[in-house]
Amino acid sequence: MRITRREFLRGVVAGGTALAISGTLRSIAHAAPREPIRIGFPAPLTGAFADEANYMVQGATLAVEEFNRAGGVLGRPVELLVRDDRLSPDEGARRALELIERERVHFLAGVLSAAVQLAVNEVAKRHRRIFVSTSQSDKIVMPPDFSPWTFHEALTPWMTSTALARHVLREGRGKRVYILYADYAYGQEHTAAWRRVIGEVGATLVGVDPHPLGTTDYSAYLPKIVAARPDVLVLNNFGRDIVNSAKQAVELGLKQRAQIAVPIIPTAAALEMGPEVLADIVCASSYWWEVQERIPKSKEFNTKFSRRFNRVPSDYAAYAYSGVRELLEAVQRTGTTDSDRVAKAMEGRRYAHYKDTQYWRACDHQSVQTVFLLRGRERPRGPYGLFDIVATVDGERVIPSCEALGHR
Amino acid sequence: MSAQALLLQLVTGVVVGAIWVIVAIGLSLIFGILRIVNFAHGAFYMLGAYLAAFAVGWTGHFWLALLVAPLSMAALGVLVERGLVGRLYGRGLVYSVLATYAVSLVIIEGVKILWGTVGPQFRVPAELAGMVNLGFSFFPKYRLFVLLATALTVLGMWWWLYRTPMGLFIRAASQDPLMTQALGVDISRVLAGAFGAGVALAGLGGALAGPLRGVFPEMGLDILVESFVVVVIGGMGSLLGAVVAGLLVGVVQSFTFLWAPVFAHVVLFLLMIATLLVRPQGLFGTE
Repeated sequence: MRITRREFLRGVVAGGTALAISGTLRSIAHAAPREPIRIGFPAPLTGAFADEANYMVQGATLAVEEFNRAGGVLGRPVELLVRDDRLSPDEGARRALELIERERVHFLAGVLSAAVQLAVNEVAKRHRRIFVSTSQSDKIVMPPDFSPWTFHEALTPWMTSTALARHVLREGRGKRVYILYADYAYGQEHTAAWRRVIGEVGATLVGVDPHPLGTTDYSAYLPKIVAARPDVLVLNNFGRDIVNSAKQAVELGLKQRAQIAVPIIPTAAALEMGPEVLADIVCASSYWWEVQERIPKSKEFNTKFSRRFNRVPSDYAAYAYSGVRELLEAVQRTGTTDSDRVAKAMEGRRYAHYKDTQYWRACDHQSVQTVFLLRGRERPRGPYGLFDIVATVDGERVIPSCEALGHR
Repeated sequence: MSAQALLLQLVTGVVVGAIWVIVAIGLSLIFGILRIVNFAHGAFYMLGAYLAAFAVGWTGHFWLALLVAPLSMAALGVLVERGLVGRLYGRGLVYSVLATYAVSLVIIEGVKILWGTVGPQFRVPAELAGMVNLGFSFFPKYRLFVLLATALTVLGMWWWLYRTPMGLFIRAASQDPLMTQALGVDISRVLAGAFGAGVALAGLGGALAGPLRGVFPEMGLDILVESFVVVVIGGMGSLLGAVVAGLLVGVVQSFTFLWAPVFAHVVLFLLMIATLLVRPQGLFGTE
């Protein structure tokens, strides 16, 4: 088929007119008073953490839908703009910038990987925009990364691993510990926390090996670990990396020889591991749905979530739900989308959206909250009854002081 | 470091290498006969793992899955060769590279659209779960099975190429396509068959690796690069080269994990560079 010049011009003119008209229509729509409140939500929809990213998006969606059903916030609808950060800091920063500059979002929330989170945080900070982070990182609450507009809803690796390591090493003098960690911010920070507790209790670190993020075959790391005869094997990694490293360690019989400890086992990973791998592995968590036996608020949240998405919420689903909900409540209270004023209204506030009460510490905007310690069940109770809750740790007891983090 | 630990490290490396061998002989076969670099090889590997996982899910039979995955991948390979790759012969390497790369993108994105970013469960079959005593250490049964499956596959390939008429045609076509055709062999069928076989091997590799490493859309990305390195070290187009290089790289990498884990992922490329410097045609390459 050949296109003549005339036809081509006609096509261009027609297309241009259509675009112009739709543009006008859109600006008319915008002129209406109900301009939505937009929250940009970068998450690693592809890559090794995709499972958990889906949970996060669902948690945030649930919070947004609840407000919209109740008539929106300040009479305006809320819009969640989810973007794939592909688990890459560069991509995350680009998406965040695009969300702020092109999509004109009022706030940012989300992100799952520690490294991506720091990149997104930098963009948000430069634009003086509120960012509610749902990813574990120590640096984000410490200068120079700390931002007055950033709130850290997730636990920090310091808090998580301190709680876990103190529990695992409670009679730890002389115990032999081996650490395998994913070689990026998350793995390094958890490893630092373990090293500190190992020093505190007088245990021995018999080996530390880094592995690249997204490694699928760990078999070559394992003979060395077997030979070191550790009492405790710590796997400081996340997402699919946990599934593969734990599965392969168990395959080689390491579970019979050592207590395996993992900072957090995301629900999707736990389900994939199955009881034969998961049994007796200990981990820490901000949330496990079975706490509903003692916390009524959790029961309410679980019901809402499972009614909407046909599965129980994971810890990261809860982070996203709670973070977005808390942000929108602050917007409602202050009657503005101005990041400065909303941030002021959040600082120091106590809230409970899905578990017991937590609060934003004023100096570093860390959400101080309960840490649960879990142990994999040999016989799960139903498809999701994977963990026993073996201990509950008050967040105050594992959080470093403001001064220790470099805040004055 | 005790002798037991060193032996265990060795066996571990051989098994990791075995998966590379299966995937790399497919890649090498395709290059040797069609003279194209198949950039969709990793995507075929992934698709093979998906098909096997689904087959286990539907039928409950791992052995059936291990048959279904490579056979359906062979069919897909023939389709791709007939429909796309076969139309680009004689146009130079770039065309086929771009075309197979496009196929890989379509497959990966298609899988994400159809089944999401989260792959299906794929467990080690019950009869191969657990460990066996190798004398110096306990070792997972399934990993030994992977080694056995690789050995059988390599033998099967050898038999196919050197003991069957089709193999004869394939070898003839790889040396002189024009003369082969002049002697009355339908060369287009030979090329399609070779591509199909190569793709089937990728699929088999994925099906074997699935229970060990998990099944997900991006699982083929690393293996593509790694098996390409193996093929370059072994010599493009050489089957024996792919086998030796695959095992060699597996063992060298395994010991790098032991002594200098930081270099474990670079060592592959260092080996490749060293090979190219000393013997540019690869260990068993001819040109």
